[in-house]
Amino acid sequence: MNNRDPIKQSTASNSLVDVLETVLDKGVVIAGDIQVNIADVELLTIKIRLLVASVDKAKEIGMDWWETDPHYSSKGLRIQEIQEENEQLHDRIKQLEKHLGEPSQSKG
Amino acid sequence: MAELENNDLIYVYAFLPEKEATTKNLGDIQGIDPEKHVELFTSNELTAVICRVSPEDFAEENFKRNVEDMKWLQQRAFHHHELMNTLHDTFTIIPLKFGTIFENEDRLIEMVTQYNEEMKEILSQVKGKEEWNLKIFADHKVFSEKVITDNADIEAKKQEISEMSKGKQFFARKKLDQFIEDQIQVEIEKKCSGIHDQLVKLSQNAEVKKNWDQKVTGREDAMAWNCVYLLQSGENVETFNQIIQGYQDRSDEEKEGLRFESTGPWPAYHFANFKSPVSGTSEQ
Repeated sequence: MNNRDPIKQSTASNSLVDVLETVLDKGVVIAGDIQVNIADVELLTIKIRLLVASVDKAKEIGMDWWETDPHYSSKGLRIQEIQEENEQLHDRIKQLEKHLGEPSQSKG
Repeated sequence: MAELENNDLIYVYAFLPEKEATTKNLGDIQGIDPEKHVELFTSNELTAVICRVSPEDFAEENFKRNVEDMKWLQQRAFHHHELMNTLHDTFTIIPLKFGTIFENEDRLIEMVTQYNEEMKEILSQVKGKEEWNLKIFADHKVFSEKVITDNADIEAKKQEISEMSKGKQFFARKKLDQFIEDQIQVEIEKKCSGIHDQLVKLSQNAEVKKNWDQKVTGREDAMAWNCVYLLQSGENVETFNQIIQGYQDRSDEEKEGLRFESTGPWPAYHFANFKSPVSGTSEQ
């Protein structure tokens, strides 16, 4: 898996990204009577990529981030909770160690 | 036939000088509305490349609904892109953004009249030119190794950390990692801006763009540079790509962990914008 050739992996999918980036976001904007404002081209590109790639293919090319992104999945939400809890625990340990490091301090 | 009865809208792809439109033929091309064909519509010495589209798909509400449908949007966006490339092969064009639609011919004529001078000016500026996009991707692992070998203090710091208490180690490591990460960014930026300086000299114009997130690229290496260059077609484009190939070869030889990807030729999407008309309305 680690020896995948990065060029081969990306050429096809990159052209999709390039096209959308350019066509949806760039080009001359003139005041047509109807003008769609596609607000978030980046998000659209992601959505379209997901549509194009089957889920397995997406995982293979590392596009399975949505599983851990709270915006897209409840599993992601859980992971985020665990991460936050983990950080809180680290802070707590840090505090405790600080206390241990200064035992002579007369505390209340 | 029943032209007066229909209330088709006008989807506009691009503008070109009337002179070019009369000498070259467009041929029979399917439009963005698959039922319709691409047509030319001339007014005030400018020719619009259009497709008459049905309100069922392109009236404001319907169009907005359609672009939410990723499959629909993707197909239409690609059509827009492909037709633009075809046009760019033959004509000098002002490429419009996807989804510019007029209610009728009168409205389109109104617009062409209003922006006439600006559009002609842009057409003369982009004549014979094309856009090339360069994206540089950097393998952070390779850069991290380089940073560590280049900075003797990092080894010393690591040694120092290993002698600390467990809890202190965690935070000291975090800090050191941040330092390394910052150094990596500095290294990558230095590399990219050196290359950019060289390419800018070849270009008529350049626009540095946002680097895409890994979520978007789906790649393991991170996008470190994303820029479009406006180049005179021909020799300049050749040199441009030779320079990039040269950097790629060197990076491969020296295992620098850089991947160069250039795409083009694109119509001058980034360099055909004009400001509001000089003699225009007083609103803003």
